[in-house]
Amino acid sequence: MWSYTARRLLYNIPVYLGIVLLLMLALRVNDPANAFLGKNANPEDLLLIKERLGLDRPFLVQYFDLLKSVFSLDFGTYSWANEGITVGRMLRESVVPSLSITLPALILTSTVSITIALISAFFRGRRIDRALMVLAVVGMSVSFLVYIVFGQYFGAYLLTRETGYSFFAIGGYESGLANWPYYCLLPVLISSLVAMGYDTRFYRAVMVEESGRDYIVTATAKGASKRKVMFVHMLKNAMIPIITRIMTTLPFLIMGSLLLEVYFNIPGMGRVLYKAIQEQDFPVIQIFVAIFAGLFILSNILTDVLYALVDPRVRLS
Amino acid sequence: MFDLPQRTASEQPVLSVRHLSCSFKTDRGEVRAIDDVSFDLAAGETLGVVGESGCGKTVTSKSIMRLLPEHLSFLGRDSEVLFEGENIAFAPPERMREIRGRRIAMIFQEPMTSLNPVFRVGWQLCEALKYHTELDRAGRRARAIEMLQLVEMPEAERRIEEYPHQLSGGMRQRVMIAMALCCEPDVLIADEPTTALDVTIQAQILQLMENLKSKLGTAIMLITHDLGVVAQVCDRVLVMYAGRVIESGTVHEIFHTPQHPYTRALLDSIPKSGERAHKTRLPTIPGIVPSLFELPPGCRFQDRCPLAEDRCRDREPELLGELHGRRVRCHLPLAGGPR
Amino acid sequence: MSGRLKQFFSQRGMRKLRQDKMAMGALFVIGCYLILALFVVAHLPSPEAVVMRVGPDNIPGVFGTQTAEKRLSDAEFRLEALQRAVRTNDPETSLAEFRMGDLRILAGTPKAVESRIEGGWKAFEAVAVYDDIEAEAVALELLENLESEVAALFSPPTGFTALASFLRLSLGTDRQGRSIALRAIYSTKVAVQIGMVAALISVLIGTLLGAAAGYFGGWVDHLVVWLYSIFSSIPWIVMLMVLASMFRGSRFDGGLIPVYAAFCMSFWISPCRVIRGEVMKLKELEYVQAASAIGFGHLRILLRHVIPNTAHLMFINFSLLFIGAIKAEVILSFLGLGVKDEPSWGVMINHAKAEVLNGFFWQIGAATAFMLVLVLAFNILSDALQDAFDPKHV
Repeated sequence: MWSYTARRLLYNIPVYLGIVLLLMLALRVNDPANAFLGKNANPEDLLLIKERLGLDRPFLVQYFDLLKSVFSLDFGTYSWANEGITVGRMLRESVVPSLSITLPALILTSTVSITIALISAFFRGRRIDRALMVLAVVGMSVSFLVYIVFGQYFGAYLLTRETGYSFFAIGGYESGLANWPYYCLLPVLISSLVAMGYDTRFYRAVMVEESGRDYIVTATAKGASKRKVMFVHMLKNAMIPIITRIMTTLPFLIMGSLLLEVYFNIPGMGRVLYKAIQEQDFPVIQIFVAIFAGLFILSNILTDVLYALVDPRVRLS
Repeated sequence: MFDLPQRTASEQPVLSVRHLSCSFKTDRGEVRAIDDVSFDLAAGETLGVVGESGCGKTVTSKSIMRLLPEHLSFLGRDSEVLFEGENIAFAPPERMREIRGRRIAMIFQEPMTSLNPVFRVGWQLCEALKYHTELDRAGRRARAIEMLQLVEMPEAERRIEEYPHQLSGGMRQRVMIAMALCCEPDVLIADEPTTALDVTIQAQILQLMENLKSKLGTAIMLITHDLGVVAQVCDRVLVMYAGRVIESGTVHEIFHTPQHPYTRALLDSIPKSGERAHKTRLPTIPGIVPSLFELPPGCRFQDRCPLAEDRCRDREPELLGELHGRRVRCHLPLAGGPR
Repeated sequence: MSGRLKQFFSQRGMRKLRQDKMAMGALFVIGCYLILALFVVAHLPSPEAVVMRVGPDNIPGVFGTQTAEKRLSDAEFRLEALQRAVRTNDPETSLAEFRMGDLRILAGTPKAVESRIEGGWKAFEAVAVYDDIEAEAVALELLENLESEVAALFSPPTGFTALASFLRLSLGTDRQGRSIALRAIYSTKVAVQIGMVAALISVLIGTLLGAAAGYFGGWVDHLVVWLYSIFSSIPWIVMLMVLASMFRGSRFDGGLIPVYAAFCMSFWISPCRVIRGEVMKLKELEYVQAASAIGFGHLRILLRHVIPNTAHLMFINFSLLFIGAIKAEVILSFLGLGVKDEPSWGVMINHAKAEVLNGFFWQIGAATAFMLVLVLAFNILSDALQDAFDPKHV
């Protein structure tokens, strides 16, 4: 098990090195200092800002420098747009707001869509199954943005106007668990609703495929009830692709929460990156993208490990 | 349809199948996979069901156990599956659960895929015991080990902690047999239990089934396309073709005086050891089984039958003869069968 | 053998597809959208018509209702527009050239028109004194009177123009008084264009790399897998933002090129993965082995025998990526990184954000409905393609 995990880690190292290389090259196509200061920048300022970030050093040195700061989690460089604030501090401050949307959304989406998929697969071919699947296809044909716009209108605006009590904020964020439902619940609900259509269909397809396997017939032939067959035999096997799916949606949730964060003014990682790109805040862009990619790879490794935990064939080979 | 003879209670078979038919819903409409299948299985008897692939052997066995997917298949209305006199063809699910695994058990063709890959062998063995017996955890475990020893599994105590992928094909099939027999069922349906195994393992598994039958007195319905296996272990034989029973009788009768040209052709295509075996070309049956979507009017074997006449093309022959003696579905039976 | 196998696949799959009524319906819908896009390319509706003001802002579509206050301000808007036309240095020409959508000013001398406008203002003031028009029947009557007076100032379009005008206003107007119906139709072009280009290029790149990786194995395979591991590790939206900053200031800035580039960079991965797997399987098939035993070159085997047998996967992926591109375009527009000079459904939905808070749903509704039907059709088609050609796929 441990050697398996170690092997997955080793395999992903060259991938990550490639990402950082690609990213740094892409960001240097346009001179970042020029882009930040604009066309009529003072040459002295340009030199100063370049020196501060070490942009005048050879590329390889910069490359290893960035790698070092990522692997040691030490982000002491200063943001260009926000004077006197380090990227590390921006990161620390934005992680919690991001997670307070991403994690609940992931949990909610997964439980609800797995439940719906189970219902659908259990009543396969019946009217309820077909109705649920039509709903899922229609649901996944509507744009994310439409969900957000209508979600905000009905949840935050109309509900407040009609009841006179503000359940959800139109936008903004305040830390603290007590404030969570007011600021974060609505984005979480919207994010779950968006993912639901696709996930439900995927999980149902997995379950239907597993329900057609020989071991299902064996279990039924042993005298297991349909419920036992579905919830014990089928579900444990279906968990393998389901876990993979949940883990692979993680980075997309980060992306999805970027939209929500921008729309609802939640100061998470996505919004910080979005603002940094608008302001051409080069140090922030570079480190945040490197971190996004790193998170993605970590979630990949985690997927493989979880996969092994559920599937004895992988674990014991 | 002709009347089937009623048997007296004393010699009532453990399983009687009457007019069993089963249809599937497909993209191209409904298709009847088996049609009017009738036979009896007496206690302690081994019945072989033979035929080419696609002739409806597996559908017959799964229809008896009601294991076919509900949303794709349905039984014909006058189908009867009489288990100890009770018709279970349309019994409610709760009743079927009591019967499956406890009274009628089943072994499948593919030992590689028939075991659940994510549960330990022991857990899967104990599962049926959990549903059908009052045994506690320790009791179930003891019984599982006992069953594995019965099927001659080496190191049974260690094996129950393993997962299916750690076992070889032969061992998995032994687990399947142990699983099927752990509640001492009255009927064991074995659907090609040896097809997927090596020849040496095949012989061991067949020997094992023979031993267990004599030990436990279970009636066996053995589905196979291998006539060698039938000759080895069966008492009576049911030959199927394109969803229909075309001949039945004792092993002796079928092997020595086959009456249906198809049975005859099947027997001819077995390689025989001994004289001139290597000199002549092995006879084969020309053509393929007709598609169930495009069944010809008349006899279903007509296109491949060397003896087919006009009436074979016009009218399908009926299955004539005694339910427990010889039966044959042919206008022109060989060796003077019932005309 | 290859030809026969191909035939077998195509025949069975195609027959199944043709029998699928839903899939055929979806294909028909997609065909309609393609024709619509072609019309737009042929300048029907013309780009000028799309940005032209056809009436007051945010008037609802044909079945919509609006508040009395909005009706009053719409009448005011029309009167002001007329007044502006009359009070020019050359009222004769400006009156003759006056257009509000398909409405012209009723013929008459500038003097006559001006006096009629005066009458309109009087009617307007009669209504404007009421604080709550809806509460009082008299006020409502006066409002109707005002509206009929304003209407009498214009010569209503006739014949074909009347129909065109009706259609133009059928879904109402946006905040700049532009026809929502026209903009929604025009946006079809951008959607089809982005979908086509992004999906086509991605499928091509993915197929070539995937087939090469699956067929040659070894270091080629390692390289391709390494490449797609890299690209799939950066969320496309982040990749797009990086690209946008990369292209900033260059001559591609603001155009569709960065959009295409970003889409293709992340979209090629899924066809590549699938086709790599399929080619690995195909490679083991007898006919491919036979072809290589006969001594056919690798390129010929790849192009003639292997890649054509992955055609069904290419179609399925194309269909899925088309959906991906259309949906992604909306998100881009919201982030201000998408299409800039043309209307698109994304631009419309993005513009409609503020309208929704005022309870005006026509713009977001129209864009969503147009998009929903197309994406739904592609979803149904993808499902049917998968059912017909790749039934084991999850």
